[in-house]
Amino acid sequence: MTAQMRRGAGRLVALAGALVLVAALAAGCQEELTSPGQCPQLCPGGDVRTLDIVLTPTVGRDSTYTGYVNRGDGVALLVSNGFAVSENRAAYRISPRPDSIEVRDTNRTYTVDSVALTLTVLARDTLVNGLKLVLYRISDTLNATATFPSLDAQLIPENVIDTLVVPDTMNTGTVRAVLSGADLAKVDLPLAGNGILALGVSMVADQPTGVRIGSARAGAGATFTSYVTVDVDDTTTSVRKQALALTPTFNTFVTQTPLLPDPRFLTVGGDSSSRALLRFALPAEVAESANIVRATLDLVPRTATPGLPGDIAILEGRAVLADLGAKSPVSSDVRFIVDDTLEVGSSGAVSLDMTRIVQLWQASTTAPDAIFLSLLPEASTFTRGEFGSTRSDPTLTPSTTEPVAAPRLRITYQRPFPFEKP
Amino acid sequence: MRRSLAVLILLVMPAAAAAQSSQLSARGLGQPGRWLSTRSTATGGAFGMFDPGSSLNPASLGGAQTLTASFMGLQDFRNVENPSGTASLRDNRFPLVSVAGPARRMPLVLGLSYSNYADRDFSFATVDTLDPRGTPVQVFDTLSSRGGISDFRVAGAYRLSRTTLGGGFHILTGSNRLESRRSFQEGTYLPLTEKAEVSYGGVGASVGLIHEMSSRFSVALLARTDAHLDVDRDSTRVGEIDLPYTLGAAARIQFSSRLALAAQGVYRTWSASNSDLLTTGAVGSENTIDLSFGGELLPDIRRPNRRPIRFGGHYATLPFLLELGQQPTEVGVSAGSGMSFAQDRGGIDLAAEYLWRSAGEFKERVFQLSIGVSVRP
Repeated sequence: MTAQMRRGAGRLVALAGALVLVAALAAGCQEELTSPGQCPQLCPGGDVRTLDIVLTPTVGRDSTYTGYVNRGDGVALLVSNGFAVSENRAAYRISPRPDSIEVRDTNRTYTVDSVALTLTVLARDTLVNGLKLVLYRISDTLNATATFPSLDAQLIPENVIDTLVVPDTMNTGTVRAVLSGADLAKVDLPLAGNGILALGVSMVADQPTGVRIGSARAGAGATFTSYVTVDVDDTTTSVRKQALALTPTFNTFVTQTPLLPDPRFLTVGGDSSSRALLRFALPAEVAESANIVRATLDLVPRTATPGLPGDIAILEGRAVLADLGAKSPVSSDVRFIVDDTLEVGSSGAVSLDMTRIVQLWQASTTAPDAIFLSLLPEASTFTRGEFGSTRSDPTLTPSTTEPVAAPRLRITYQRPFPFEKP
Repeated sequence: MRRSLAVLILLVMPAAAAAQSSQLSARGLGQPGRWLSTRSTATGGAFGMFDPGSSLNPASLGGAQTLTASFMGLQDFRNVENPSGTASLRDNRFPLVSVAGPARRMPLVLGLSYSNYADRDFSFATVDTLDPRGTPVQVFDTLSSRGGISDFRVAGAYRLSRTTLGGGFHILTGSNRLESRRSFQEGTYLPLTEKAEVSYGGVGASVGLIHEMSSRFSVALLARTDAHLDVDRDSTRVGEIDLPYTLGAAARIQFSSRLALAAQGVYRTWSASNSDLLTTGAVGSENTIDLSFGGELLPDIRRPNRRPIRFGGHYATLPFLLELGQQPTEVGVSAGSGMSFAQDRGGIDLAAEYLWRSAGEFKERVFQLSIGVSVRP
C-alpha cells in the first residue's frame, strides 16, 4: 500500500468517525431525564405527606334565614292530597279577557264557542297512579294574602270546572280540559265583570301524594284559551273564528301547616324558602400556606329527607363574598358554586365538593370563610333539607335535646414542598 | 482587538449548565463537576492539573502560549437502575467555557472560565399509595430539578524558570429550578404543582503550581477553598452550606517524544457540608477522592495536535449520600483524540467516556461524548 493510499484510508476512517459522532450527538439532542424514583433515597424534601383536617362551623355562627322566594314566585306550584310532607293547594289568576275584539278598526263583540284550560305537570310520583287534577273556579280577588283555609273553602264540588286526568304513563307534560255548551257556564265571564278568571287546583290519586305544576314565572302556568265567533259580517273563517289565549298574571300555592325552620337545625328549601349560612375559621396552617387538594362539606340530615319520591332537588352552595348575614352577597362565578342532588328519603350524609371555595378563602383577603346553602328550585319543591348544626351537635352543645352532628368541612391538604431541603 | 472580542464573546455566551447529570445527583448540591476540558476528559482527567483548557489548576494557565478560547459540549446516554425500575436517559449540556492568553512582555497568563461546580439535573417519577380520609389513594409524583452551581473563575499564572505559580478567584453562582407535581388516581383530588427556585451564591480561591522536575517529569499541586454557599429560596435566605477544601496533586512523565503519561489525585473535604446538610434534612456528605491515570500518544510528533490518541481511566467517590453508609462511587474509562486546522488557529477535541456509578442498589452506566472546540484568534 502506498503512502497516498494510506492517507486516503486514514481520511475515510476519520470521516466515518466524524459522521458517527455527529449522528450520536444529533440523536441525543432531545433530552430524556425522567427516571423511576425511589424514596427516601431519591426524594429530596422527604416524604410529602397528605394531611387531613376536619372543621366544624364556628359555634353558633351557622344560621338559617328564610323568605328569599315567595310562594308562587318559583318555577312550580305545589298541589297535594293527604301527602305527609305537606298539604298544598294551588291557584292561578288569569289575565282579564277582553269583552270585544278589534276587527277592521272596530271593536266587535263575540260569542264564546268553547274554552280550553291547560295545566303543566312538572313532577309527580311516578309510582302513584290515578292522578287527577281538579280545577275549581274561585274568587277573582285571589292575591298573595291567600291562606290554605281561605282557598280550600272555595274548592268545593259546586265550584268544580273540570277534572283533568293525568295518564299514568305521563311523568311530565300538559293536561287539557275543553268546555263547551252548557259547561261554558262554569267559566262564564259576564260582560259587566272584570273579565278575570281565577282557578283553584287540587288533586286526587290512588294514594296520598303530591304534584308540582308549572308557574307563570317559568312560563308554564295554566292557560285559558277561549275560542270565539266574532260578531262581524265577514264570512271568512279566520276573521270570524278567533282564539283568545290568556295566561296567569298571578299564581300561588298555599300550605295547610307551614313549617317554620327549627332554630336548632340548618334548613334549606321548603315552604319557607330557607337558606343556611355556614361560617368557618380556617386555621392559620391551612389558610396561609397549605395546598388544598380536596375539601368536602358533609351535612348530616336530621331525618330522612322529606319530598316527592323521584323528584330531584339540588343542594347548592355558593361562596360568600361578604358576610352581611341574611343579605350576604354570594358569588356568581361558576367555579365557586357547588351542588349535589338531595335524594328524597335518604338519611345519609350529603357531601359537597368545596375544594375551589376553600381555595378562594385562602386566596382572598376579603371573602369570608363562609358558604351559603340553598335548595333548588326554591319555593317550588316538596323537598326540604334539614341538617345538624353546631346547636344540635352534642360535642359542641352538650345540652342539645336532639343530637345531630354539625356540618363537617374535611380538608385534605399538603404543606408546601420543602424544596430547600436537599 | 481580536483578543478583546474573544473575551467579550466568552462573557456573553449562555452560562454553562452542568455536566454528568445522574440519579446520584439528587441529594445535596448534586453531582460535583470535575472542571476538565474535553482533552483532559479523554485521559480520564489525569492531565487536568497540567491542561490550560481545564479550570482545575490555575497554574496550568501557564501552558497557554497564545490567546485561546474554548468551549465544551457534552452528550450522555445513561441506563439507570434502582429498586423502582430501570430507564434509559439522555441529556446534553455545556460544562466548560474558557478563555486564556498571555500578557505582553510578562511571563503571565490570565484566564477566565465558566464551569460546572455542581449539577442537579434530574427528574424522578414515583408511585405511592396514601391514606387520606382513611381511604387508600394512589398518587403519582414527579420531582424534577434543572440547573446547578456554576464556577466563574478569574485566574492567572506566573511562569518562573521551571515553576509556574497560579492563583484564581472563584465566584459560585447558580440555581436549581425545582418542580414537584402530584396527581391522584382518584379524580376528586386536585392535581398539585409546586415550583421554586433555590439559588446559591459564594466565593472561593485557589492556588496551584506546576514544577518541572526535569525535562520529562513534572508535578502539579493544587489547593482551593470555597468558604460557604448562601442558599436562597425564591429570594429568601434559607440557609448556608459550608463548602470543601480541595487538595490535588498530579505527576506527568514524558516517556518518549510520542508518549506522555500522567496520574492525578484530588481530595475534597465535602464532609464540611455534612452538618449543614443534616440540618436541612439531607442524608449528609462525605469527603471524596478522585484518582485518575491516563496518557497521550502522538502519531506525528511534528504535528502534536493532529489526531493524538488519548486514553485514561479514573475512580472517584461522590460526596452526597443517598443513604447512610453507602457513599456513591464512579469508575470510568475514556479515550479520545483531536485535530487542529487553519494553522492551529482552530481545534476540535473529542472524548468518549464510559462510566459506572453505583451506590448500593442505585446504579447507572453512562456513555458520554464530549466535544471541545478551541479558537486561537
